[in-house]
Amino acid sequence: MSDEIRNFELNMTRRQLFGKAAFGLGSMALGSLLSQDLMAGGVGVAKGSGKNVMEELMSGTPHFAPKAKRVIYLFMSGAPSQLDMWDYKPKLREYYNKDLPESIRRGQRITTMTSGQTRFPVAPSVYNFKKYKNNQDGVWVSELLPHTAGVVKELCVVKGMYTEAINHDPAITFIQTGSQLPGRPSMGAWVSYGLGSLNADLPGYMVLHSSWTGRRNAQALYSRLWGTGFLPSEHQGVSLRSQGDAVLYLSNPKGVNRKDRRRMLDALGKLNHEQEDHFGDPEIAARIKQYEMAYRMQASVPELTDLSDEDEKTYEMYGPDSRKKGTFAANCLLARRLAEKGVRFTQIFHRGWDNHERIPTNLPKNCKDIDQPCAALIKDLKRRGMLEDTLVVWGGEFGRTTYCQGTLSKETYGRDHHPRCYTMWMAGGGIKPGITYGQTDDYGYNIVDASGRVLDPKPEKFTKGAMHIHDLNATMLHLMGINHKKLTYRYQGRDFRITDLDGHVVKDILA
Amino acid sequence: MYSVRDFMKIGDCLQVLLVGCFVLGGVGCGDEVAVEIIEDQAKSEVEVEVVVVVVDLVAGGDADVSVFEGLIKPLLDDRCVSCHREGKDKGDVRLDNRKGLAEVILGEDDGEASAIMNVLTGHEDFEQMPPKEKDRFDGDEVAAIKWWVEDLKGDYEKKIGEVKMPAEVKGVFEGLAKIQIDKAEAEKTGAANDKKNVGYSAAALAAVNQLRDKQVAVMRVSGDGQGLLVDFTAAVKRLGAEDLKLLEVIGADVAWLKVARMKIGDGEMKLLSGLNGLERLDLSYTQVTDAGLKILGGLERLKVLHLVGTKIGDGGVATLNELAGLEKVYLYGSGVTGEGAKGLRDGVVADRGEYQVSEVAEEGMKSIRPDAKKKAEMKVEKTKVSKGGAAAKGDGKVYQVANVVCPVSGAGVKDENFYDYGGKRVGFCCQKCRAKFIKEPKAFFAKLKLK
Repeated sequence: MSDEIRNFELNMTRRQLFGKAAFGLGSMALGSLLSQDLMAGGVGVAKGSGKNVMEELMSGTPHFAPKAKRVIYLFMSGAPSQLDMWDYKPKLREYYNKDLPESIRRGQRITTMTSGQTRFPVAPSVYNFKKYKNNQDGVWVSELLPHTAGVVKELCVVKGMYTEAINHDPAITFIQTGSQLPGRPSMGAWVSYGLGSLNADLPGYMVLHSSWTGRRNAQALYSRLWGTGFLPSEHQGVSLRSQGDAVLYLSNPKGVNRKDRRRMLDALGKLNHEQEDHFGDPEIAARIKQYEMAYRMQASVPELTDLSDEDEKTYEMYGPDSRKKGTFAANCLLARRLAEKGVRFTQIFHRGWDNHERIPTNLPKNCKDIDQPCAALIKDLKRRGMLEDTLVVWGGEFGRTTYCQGTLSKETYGRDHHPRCYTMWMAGGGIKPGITYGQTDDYGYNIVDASGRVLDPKPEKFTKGAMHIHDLNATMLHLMGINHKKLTYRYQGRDFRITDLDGHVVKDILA
Repeated sequence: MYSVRDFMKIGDCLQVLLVGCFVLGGVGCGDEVAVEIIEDQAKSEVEVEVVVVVVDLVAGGDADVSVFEGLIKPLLDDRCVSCHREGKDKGDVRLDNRKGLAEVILGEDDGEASAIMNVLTGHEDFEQMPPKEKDRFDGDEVAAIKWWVEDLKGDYEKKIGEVKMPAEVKGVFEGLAKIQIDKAEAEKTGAANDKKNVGYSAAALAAVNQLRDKQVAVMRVSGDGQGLLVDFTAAVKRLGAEDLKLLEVIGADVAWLKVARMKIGDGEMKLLSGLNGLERLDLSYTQVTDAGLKILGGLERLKVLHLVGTKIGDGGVATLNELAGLEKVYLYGSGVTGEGAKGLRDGVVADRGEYQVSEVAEEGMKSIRPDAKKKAEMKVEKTKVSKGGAAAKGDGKVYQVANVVCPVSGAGVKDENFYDYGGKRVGFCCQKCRAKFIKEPKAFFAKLKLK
């Protein structure tokens, strides 16, 4: 027998061994209505296998005591204009319609949407800004965010965010998965994988889609953004739709009751197990688990998404939109409920921020969608004692340019993509409240230090005042008790992590 | 030209050379004097004063221990190494080996302080280390490290018996020696620190398994401690007092417990009162009352307590004050009044859900938002010349649209949406408006406002 065939047979044996280990789990899950494929986090640890509780308790994550038990990530897809919302640049009024100096642009690559422009005229924000008291010397907020301005003493406003990509797909893939190329696991999947679930009836990572009123022509979202990549499939984000059934095909069809469904799943499980025996593919075990999760979600999701037990005052706080299913406001309320239920990572997507033109027409609508609900979410979590262990993150995939795209006028100005600096905010979960981190130059184009010197940060080296995407992810994991360098998964012959080769925990923003 | 600083450096070099000779030559009075003379030349008077306080060396075997092993390493091990070690090299700094140390004790080329001294002294460009929530070095301890880094140049070989310790450094050394002796004695009596012996009894593990069978999440709070997180959320509707009894088996290892929305009341508080390792307890939306809370008064380690939506009233405040370790209590939706919360002792932060929004500190630039009615009158600048786009097609001439505002919708125009009519290039906001215009060009053309 040739070595190749022998190796192949050995491999099969090894794979089947793994498969069988997982099989034990699956059969338990099928054995009872209340399965055990529980929780019990732990990287690379067989879950809930009973016999090895000690071993599993001892070897798991978190690596150190977490400040945040869960994350609510408010993702503004399309990239909100930091210059019209957070990054106050009064000098731009003086520079109105003047060309962006090369000393500021410093060779920055520009998208093909504006690279054909003969000029890059500076477009100041037309909005009124006020400085609100926080725990430092205050933070400037635009009139578009009156409610969020009221809670700035809970927020850490990061003005020194930067990324590497200049177009939506690579940029959103980068912030979601730590790589501009598709295929890596998303942040939520890593967290679910690393920490395990606190509630066996719900997935560890939930994704909520919101309706929006800003620019209609919005960037597409796609399931790989909350995908699991090479991590086991059960860590994939489960997305709740904004219309109709929250999860498609979750309701039993007419004529099928819960008992029938159980019998059907048991029979299907038997067949799946036979297949698994035959092929030894661990993904079959994952599939069995997914069926069981779906079965439990048939009971847990309708209860979760039924907001009728919320009181009037709560609806008032989140604003009138909160009564309308699928709005950002209703989703914020839902996210709080998910957090209460122990879901580790909830991500709300809100679209329509890609304002290449007509900011004064579109941006106020989108801001109105999110402003009151953001503030309400912070207040609601705080009064329930959940803000201290829930990390709330707000932001998009990159920023927008200080110069105008297309025709410059006060009513139609627009901004192109800008990766070199933008604003996000974080709150709760071990974040230092009421501060700002980082600053930009008078044009809002480069991250600078206190003296105005351009920092030109690079991901491989930590730069005080700047926060790379990897730094953001490393910091989020740190707050959840995870050393980002240790949360790895071996695939294609090497260990992968969400922060790839970089990532620094930004200690200045930790409480 | 040499600066003063260069001379200092030259002086330092000489000093090193001489110290080297002195060590090679063995301990002798004559050499000491020589060293002092050179130091006199190279250093400021203040520093000389420190150096000339020659310490009577510690008696006994201690003199044979190297300065590093006897003085510096214990200090680093105690305060630094827990974060700067193999597997946890915060800031990519390691202080548990010589390679890592070498990187932080080197000064900058121009004679500035080394990285380690900068962080110890809280130099303005550096965050002070250890962090403020940790046990920081006191002035003498910093002086001891400075002495080793700067005067001994981070030497690993020199014995305690071979060097002159400044007075404050000697104090630190003696303190450390005492701790070593205490520790040795403690180990002898078997009372050694057992932090590393994390583990759970067979009974506790069985209870963990049973809880998990009931859909209760049980996991360790963190990888470096014994405490367990127990979360009943998934099963609150099914479980009750019987299931809480399993917690008693796990006992003091239950550190974080969430039983919010469970159907339990004062009767079950007895079961929880034995969990004296509890640090966080979430009783929100349970039936607990002031009487039940009273049973929990002995939970000394409890730091955070959630009583949201409970019947706890002002009568419970006395119990809250009894909880010695309590830092935060959440009372939103409970019966505790603002007046009642004032009775809480200092150090307890109570949140009753009354949020005070941030105030305006300063007014900034005023809005210059376009007024909808005046839209068309706004001053406009043209900036875009489309490269190879629609505007460049046709007869080869570059046309520019004649209007700013779409004659159909009133929104801003995009250069690529146009239609030539009446000798003008009319711009539109979108293709739909363009199509409408083409249907009734006359009517819309009349409305057109030229630039």
